[in-house]
Amino acid sequence: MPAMVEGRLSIGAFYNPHLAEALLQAGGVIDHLSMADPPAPDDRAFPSIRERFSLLLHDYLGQLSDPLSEHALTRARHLQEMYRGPWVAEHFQCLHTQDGARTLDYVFPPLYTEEFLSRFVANALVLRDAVKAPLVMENIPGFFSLDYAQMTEAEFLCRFFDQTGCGLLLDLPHIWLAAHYSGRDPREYLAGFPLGKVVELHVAGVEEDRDLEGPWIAPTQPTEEILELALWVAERAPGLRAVTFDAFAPSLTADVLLHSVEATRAAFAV
Amino acid sequence: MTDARSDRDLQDAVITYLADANLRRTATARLPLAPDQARRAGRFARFLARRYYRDRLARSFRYSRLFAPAAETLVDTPAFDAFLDDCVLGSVAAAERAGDLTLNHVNLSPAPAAWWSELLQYERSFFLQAASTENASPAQFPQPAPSARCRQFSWNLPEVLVRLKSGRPISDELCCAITLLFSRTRHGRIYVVEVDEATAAVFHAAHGHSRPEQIAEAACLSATIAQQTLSALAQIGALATSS
Repeated sequence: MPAMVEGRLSIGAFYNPHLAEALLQAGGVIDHLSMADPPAPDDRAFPSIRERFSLLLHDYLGQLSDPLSEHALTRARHLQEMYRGPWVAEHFQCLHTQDGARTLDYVFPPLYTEEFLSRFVANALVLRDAVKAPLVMENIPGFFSLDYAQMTEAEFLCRFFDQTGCGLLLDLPHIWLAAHYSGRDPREYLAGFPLGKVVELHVAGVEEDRDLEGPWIAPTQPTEEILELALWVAERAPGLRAVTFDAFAPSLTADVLLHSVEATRAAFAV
Repeated sequence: MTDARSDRDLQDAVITYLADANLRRTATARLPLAPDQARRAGRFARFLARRYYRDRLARSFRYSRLFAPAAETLVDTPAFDAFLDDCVLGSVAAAERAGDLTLNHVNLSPAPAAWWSELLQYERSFFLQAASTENASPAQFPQPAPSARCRQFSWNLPEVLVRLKSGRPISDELCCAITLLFSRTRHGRIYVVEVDEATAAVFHAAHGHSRPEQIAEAACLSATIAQQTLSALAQIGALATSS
């Protein structure tokens, strides 16, 4: 499988198995693919996909608010051995109860407290050692807030990266939404974020949601505003190596995926 | 303000609050949430639940959609809005209710084929595994996992699905009794396995009040074979045992 070229920005997307043929025929449009799920046993296109693209492990490996089980660590190690990507990603999230009885099954941030910071630092180091690869961590937006946080999201991230040496996977739709729902400008919201630690960016579109009565992430083409924000961050992120169109859904079409990657390439003049 | 002993416990209380519509309605959660933030949390909880069941319905009702409305379109109906008002996300009870709503939503009259109602029951049993997260508490005696179901079908459903997937005709030779066990492990892996009469008997006898030797007697098996069967059923998440 091809490796990412050092010093060259890689533009990619998520692997959507139902679009495998279109991805393989897309020529040089896509440099890398992020893997949100392991390939299905009957995915006959995957060997060609692995041959053709750099792969990034972006599966759910476990929530780093809690110690990962031996089962989870072994699974993560096997996935990384299969993909051999330059880094492995996880999220700043805590969505399962400790007894496993309840889950939100979707992105949900931890409380930004000293206790959670210690938990994430300790468990991230264990995961990084287990997969024997650099670990990048993705920011997660909140939709409401409790009167309980001991620090801002930016401080939590800065201290985490200082203590672990991990990289930041900055999801820009997440930033845009967090800023939107706190009534701030995204660039203002990013003040204090450790942009020097950014290794990868996620871009995607947003759509109105009737339950939220406002926008949320959608498998649609990144808006101009998101791409402009991506360029703004890139100017402040000397360690940036990859930009990924963050969409995986059965409803996603090849047209939307390829146009989104092309729009990202055009924005970055790659 | 809150009974949480640690920040991690408080996070669990928040997750439970978001998952449980009844808890949100009765306002007994005692979380540090201002009224305006509690309203936002309520909207977010409905968003999460609608998203969760849309995904599980799409994954579970994969074959009935060849003949009927896609099951996940249920989540955009008024009936599902009412369901969201008091559902506990990921509970077996909620999955049972959502499964029933789905059968009403996709069922066709007249049925498109003799095996139609059995196909829907198969997909509903699969959905119970995919749309639930509850696990059995440790118990002194073997007991069934909350979502595990053992059901007899009069059509060979696994082969019916193979035929539907490949577009081949489903002939009457597939009309034969088969017993299927549906289960999910703690890691979320779903099993649908064909079981023989003895294994089904062990599953039904393991109701949480019988020792392994009593289960062996009820299933007319030797103690050794019954123990091996109990272990195999525990491995696929169908039973919870004390070990």
